[in-house]
Amino acid sequence: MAFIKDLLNRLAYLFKGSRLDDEMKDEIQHHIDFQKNKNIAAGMSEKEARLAALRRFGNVERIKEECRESWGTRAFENCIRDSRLAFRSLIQRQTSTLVSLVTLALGIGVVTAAFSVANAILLKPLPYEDPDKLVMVWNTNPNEGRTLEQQSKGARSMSVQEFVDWRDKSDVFERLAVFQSWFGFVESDENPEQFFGYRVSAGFFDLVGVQPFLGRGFVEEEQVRGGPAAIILQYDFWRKRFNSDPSVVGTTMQLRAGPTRIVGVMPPEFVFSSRQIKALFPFPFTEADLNRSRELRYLRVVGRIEPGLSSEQAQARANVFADHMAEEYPQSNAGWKPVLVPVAENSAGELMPAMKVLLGAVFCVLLIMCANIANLLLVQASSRKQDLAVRSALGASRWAIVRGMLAESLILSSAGAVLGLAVAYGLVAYFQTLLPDRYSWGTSLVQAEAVGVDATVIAFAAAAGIGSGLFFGLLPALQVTGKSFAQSLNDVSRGALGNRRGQRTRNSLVIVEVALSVVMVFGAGLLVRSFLTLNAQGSGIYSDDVLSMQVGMPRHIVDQIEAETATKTEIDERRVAARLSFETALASEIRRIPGVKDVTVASERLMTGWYFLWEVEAEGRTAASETETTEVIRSRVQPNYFDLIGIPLLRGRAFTEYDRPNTRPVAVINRQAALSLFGSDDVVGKRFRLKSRPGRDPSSWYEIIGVCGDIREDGLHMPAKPYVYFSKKQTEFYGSGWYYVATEGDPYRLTPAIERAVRAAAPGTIIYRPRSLDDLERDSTWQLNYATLLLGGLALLALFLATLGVYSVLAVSVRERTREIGLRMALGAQRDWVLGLFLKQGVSLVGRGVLIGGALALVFAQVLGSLLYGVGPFDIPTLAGVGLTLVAAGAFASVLPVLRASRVEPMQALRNE
Amino acid sequence: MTKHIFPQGALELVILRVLQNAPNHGWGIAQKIHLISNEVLKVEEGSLYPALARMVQKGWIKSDWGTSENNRRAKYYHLTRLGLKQLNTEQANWEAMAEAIANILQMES
Repeated sequence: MAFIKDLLNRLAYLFKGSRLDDEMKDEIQHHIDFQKNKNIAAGMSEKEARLAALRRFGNVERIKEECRESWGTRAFENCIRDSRLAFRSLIQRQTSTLVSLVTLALGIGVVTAAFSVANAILLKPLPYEDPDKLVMVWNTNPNEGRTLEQQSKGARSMSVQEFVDWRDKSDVFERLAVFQSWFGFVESDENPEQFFGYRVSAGFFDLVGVQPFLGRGFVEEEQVRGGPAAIILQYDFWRKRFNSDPSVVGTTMQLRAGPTRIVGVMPPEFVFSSRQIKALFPFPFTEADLNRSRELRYLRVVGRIEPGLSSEQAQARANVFADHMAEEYPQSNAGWKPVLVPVAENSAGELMPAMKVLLGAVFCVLLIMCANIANLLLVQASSRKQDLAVRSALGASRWAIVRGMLAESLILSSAGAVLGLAVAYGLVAYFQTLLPDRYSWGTSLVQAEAVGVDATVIAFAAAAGIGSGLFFGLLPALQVTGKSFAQSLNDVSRGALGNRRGQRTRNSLVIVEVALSVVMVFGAGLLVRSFLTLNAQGSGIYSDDVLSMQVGMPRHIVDQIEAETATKTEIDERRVAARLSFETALASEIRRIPGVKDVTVASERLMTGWYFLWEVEAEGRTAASETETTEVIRSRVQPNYFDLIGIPLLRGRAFTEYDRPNTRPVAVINRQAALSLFGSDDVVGKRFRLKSRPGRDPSSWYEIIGVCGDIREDGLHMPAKPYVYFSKKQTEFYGSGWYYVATEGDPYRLTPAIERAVRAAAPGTIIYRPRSLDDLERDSTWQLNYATLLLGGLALLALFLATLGVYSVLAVSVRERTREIGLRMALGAQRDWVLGLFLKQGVSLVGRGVLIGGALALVFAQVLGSLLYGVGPFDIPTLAGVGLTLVAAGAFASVLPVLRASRVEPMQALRNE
Repeated sequence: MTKHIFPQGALELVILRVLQNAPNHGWGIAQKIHLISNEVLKVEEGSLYPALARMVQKGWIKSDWGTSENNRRAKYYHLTRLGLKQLNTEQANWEAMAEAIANILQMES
């Protein structure tokens, strides 16, 4: 209560302020008059008496100030007055204000944009209810080559029977659900489309705690095989395909699988496990599913751990349950260990190091920016010292002067933060265009869409602005108003030998700047070197301008075959024949388009990290391969595949038109597969086969007719995968084809023409994800590219700011010492000596910064570890290069001031004051 | 004439005591203190007016406009109830303190 009364009182004073001021003037005048009268009575003359009275009273203004102070309105008044003064002084010093504003806008802008990326990936909670409780349940078994790394890259973890046991019998999870990749096909002549999604088992929506924002989740009868077909759309798919029309909920979509009811639309922020999903489908288990072997592990499982359990406790209970299962089903479950990985960790896991580096870099740049502006203000403050000293002599307290200067820097930094936000908006929009269009098969879920300017990001910009304002304002303010303040009235007018103390502060700020930029430029340098190494090394694909896309055969062709044919084998035969002729026809249509060089069709897509692995065994080496299994990617290709894609043939021959179903089964394998199967690449003529799997016999033996080069299928930074190629004609089966079109020039230029040609030849054909091989290669290392771009940009900014810092310190030092230089030259110093003096100063600043920074860089570079490729964190050549760069930048920054110093005319300098 | 500087809080106490007799203006208060202390205590204007402003803010005294001896408009301060209470407490404190200090100063070797 008392507090509120006090506050009201103060506010009242604030409004009564001017009246109170007048009253106070009256009162003081009254007092002085009394004193004057008394003096006159004591025998002084009128004038003498008045002056004596005034003298006795003392500093009227100061006393008024003190009285006002006690009214308690000072804080408000000061605030208003300080900012008015600050504005005036900022406008007066246009150039430096402009320089600081640009620095701030750039600095805060870039840093905020970088922060928005880190924010989206590290800090933003995943869009689920209580996301800490959500875990991916992986299943590992070292004996079977199932590692966690392989699992989290998308391998399956459980069989249906295992899942049912875990769900119904274990005491680990509150809820448990499975999800499985699933494709939908929209049947339509004009606008056919293939889209990717997940089938999710019952209870999925309650598990993640997100419900559709339109419509509803799946109901029980939809989760039963044979129940009504239903689909829930992802927001984005709904927006693009249905123009955000809410009335589509409840209507029926014509899918290849049959008419399917749209029952809901997910909210825009919902993502799960992959950015690519467009829809969710029900996942009903059939009797057959439930009776499948326990070893057929093809499900991926997500769970919500029991409330009250920590993740360690959950893991411990899961281990116990797995042991029970292993006892009960030793044949299928011995050796299998569950690993619960929190969804958040699963998603950001591989990006964590990059993001930490990014956050570190952000703070480095902020510091450098602050140091720079602090330096600028220091210089200004020292030139305003006289003015400030006068203010102090007139009765301004130290705090009042510091406050005044702080007001300036805070206004500056707030304006900088606003401009910086605008810059950040632009940059973030640019970042979003850089996001990869890559299957995040598996779980590396990046909330890429979440990269944007939101409340957290705005708060960050504001904090960065105010924080840096306080930092770069307080330092000069305290320094200028320091101990020797009173002397400065004399100092300045006498033009003494530079201000040693100010110089020292400025020097140390610059050294810090240089050191920090060394750290950053070194980090960026390592990333750039990795980037260059990777790109020089390439993926193993030697071709330019190839467009890849998936083209499915229209469903009606299959329907017709099925309608006309009775037996299963006959259907299969006719389907394969139909496929092959469909592909041949389509390929020749595409070949006819001007600008298309050639077309080839294969069963697998390239460079997406999206493939199935097949276990193979070499003839005669079966015993050895019992323990170490070779898993390969298998692709069925046409004879011109190797030429068109640009995979070099190292030994033997490629396929020909004569490798057909009735001829000897042949294969081309890559070097990696040859080495892993036979320990040598001299394997032409040897044979291998696909191993048997539960429910599947081994394949026939394939004779190796050629060995080809490796492809880094998982990405430029990953080792090449063993690959085996079969002749498409010889081994064709179900599945849709990936078309690779070699073009003259930009492949995307031809996309519309290709689409038109395909639709004309076969209406209803779906073309899926056209993308150039170059882009696919780039996407495969997008994390490194992204980190390189972000850190490189920040490092450039740091370098620029540090150079600016060196320049401004030298420039000021030259200006402050002009008189001294003049004097020395008048006494006989040579220009060379003057040149050397300042050059030495510049080099010593940078040199010290580089030394400190180099040491720091070696410490911090270790964080980059996992992002680097072909270069270690202690790379001395890079460090030396960075050091040289900084020294060169320092020398460059010294040029102007040093030249100015050498042009000093002694007579003029001495006369100038 | 030696000047005696008021110890902390003493100026307020003295002002309160002066105003207990009759409302007065700033000049009058300063004169009264000077005279009554046998010209030992001298109030600096630089301390007087800020002290008065503080005391107004604390609610111990209030100000009114009146006419002074020389027929001028002057600001008169008078004690409030809160001020009177403050005076009593402070006076008691002061006397206790003074006595205590005197005792210490007069102690036998």
